[in-house]
Amino acid sequence: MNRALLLCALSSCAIDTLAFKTKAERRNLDCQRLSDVEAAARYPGQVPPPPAKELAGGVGDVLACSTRYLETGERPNRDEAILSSLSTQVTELADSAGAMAPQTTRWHVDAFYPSLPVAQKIAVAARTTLAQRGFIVSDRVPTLAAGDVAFLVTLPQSEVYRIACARSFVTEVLGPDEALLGLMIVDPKETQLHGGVCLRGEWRWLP
Amino acid sequence: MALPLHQRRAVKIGLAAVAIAMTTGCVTVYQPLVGLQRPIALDPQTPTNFTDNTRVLVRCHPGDGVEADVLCRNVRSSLSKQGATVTTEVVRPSGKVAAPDRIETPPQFIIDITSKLIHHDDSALLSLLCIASFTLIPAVEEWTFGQEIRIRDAQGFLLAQQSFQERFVESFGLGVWALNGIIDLLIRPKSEQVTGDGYKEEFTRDLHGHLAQLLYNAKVRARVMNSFAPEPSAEKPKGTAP
Repeated sequence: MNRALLLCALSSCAIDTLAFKTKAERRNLDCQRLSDVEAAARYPGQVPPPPAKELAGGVGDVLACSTRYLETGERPNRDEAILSSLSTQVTELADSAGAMAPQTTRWHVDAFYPSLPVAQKIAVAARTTLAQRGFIVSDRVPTLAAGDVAFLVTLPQSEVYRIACARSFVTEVLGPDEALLGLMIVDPKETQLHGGVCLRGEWRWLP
Repeated sequence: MALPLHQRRAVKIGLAAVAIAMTTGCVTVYQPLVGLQRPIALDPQTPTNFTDNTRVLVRCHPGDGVEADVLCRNVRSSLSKQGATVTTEVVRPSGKVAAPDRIETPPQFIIDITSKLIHHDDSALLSLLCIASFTLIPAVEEWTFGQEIRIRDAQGFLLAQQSFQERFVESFGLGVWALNGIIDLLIRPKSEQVTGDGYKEEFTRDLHGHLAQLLYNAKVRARVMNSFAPEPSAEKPKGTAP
């Protein structure tokens, strides 16, 4: 009996604690593999430093996992997919947009997304990214007259941004030194953001 | 010729060990690490996701512990069920393409799937303990795989890319198998059961779902990049040489 206990104790060091979690719990973890040197630096106290292995030239491996703030299923799937990669997507689009206008341009940002709270998060993320890059960023969202908006909603998606942009410039909603970065989804089943820039009345989609 | 007593005992123990090993099973746990646990907005069961003449070439690049031809075949089956016209290629390490499907019309989208084994761990101590305890103590083996998926249009413009990682932890032994079998039978709901091949289905569902979502995203991006212009027909113009 004592021997069996000893064997169990010895083997427990290699038993994976994740095996005791439910599928839902495992899916709520974001994990990445780190070398033990990096893991010890990132998580001091939790991962012991590996001097002996380092001296011997061995390379260890640590699986670092963190639990998500919001569990899977708490938000609609598309919102969750967009928001979980928001930083990456918005940074790419904001960097592309920033390269299209002079540094002195005043940027306005608007997001077109079915859910208003998510749209606001997208817009704030883009404004923050542009400000971090040293651009002048306005909190104001340029708004067309009610008549223009009523007409624009009747247009197909292929035309609406181009015409809205031209109209914004003609009606001086956007000045010559101002640009609008628009972020949107164009299909209800996609999980990626598209971006377009309105500069001096011309609308251009971002790659 | 009768064997001495101690040899007969050794043979009996050996036979018992073999019998136990034969009846012992594996418990494999699948854990999505990167990307695969994210939800998707598309329903991969819908047969009309890619019905508007979407032509796709799937290129599978083999890696350690990955059967590229099986992966390509499964992906073709999955995308075809959603309405796409799929051809496949298995790219060998030399860069040669093995047994490509016959391509009648050029693909609109090219999906490159690169798979690799990122980590493999097999505890020697546990394996020894497993043998010594007649598999009552499980032997544990772990694999972490990664997939890099890139989708380009026919001109080579990168439309979408995504990295995935997942891990499989396999426990082998009578104790762990019997215990989990009893828990599966009495306590766990079917969706949570760990004995059997449920992990394969779960991983396949995740990977194929994300692949379909990525292709859908790429398709929409291509439309946006072309300023919503209608896609050119795949039909060859009349009068052209074959």
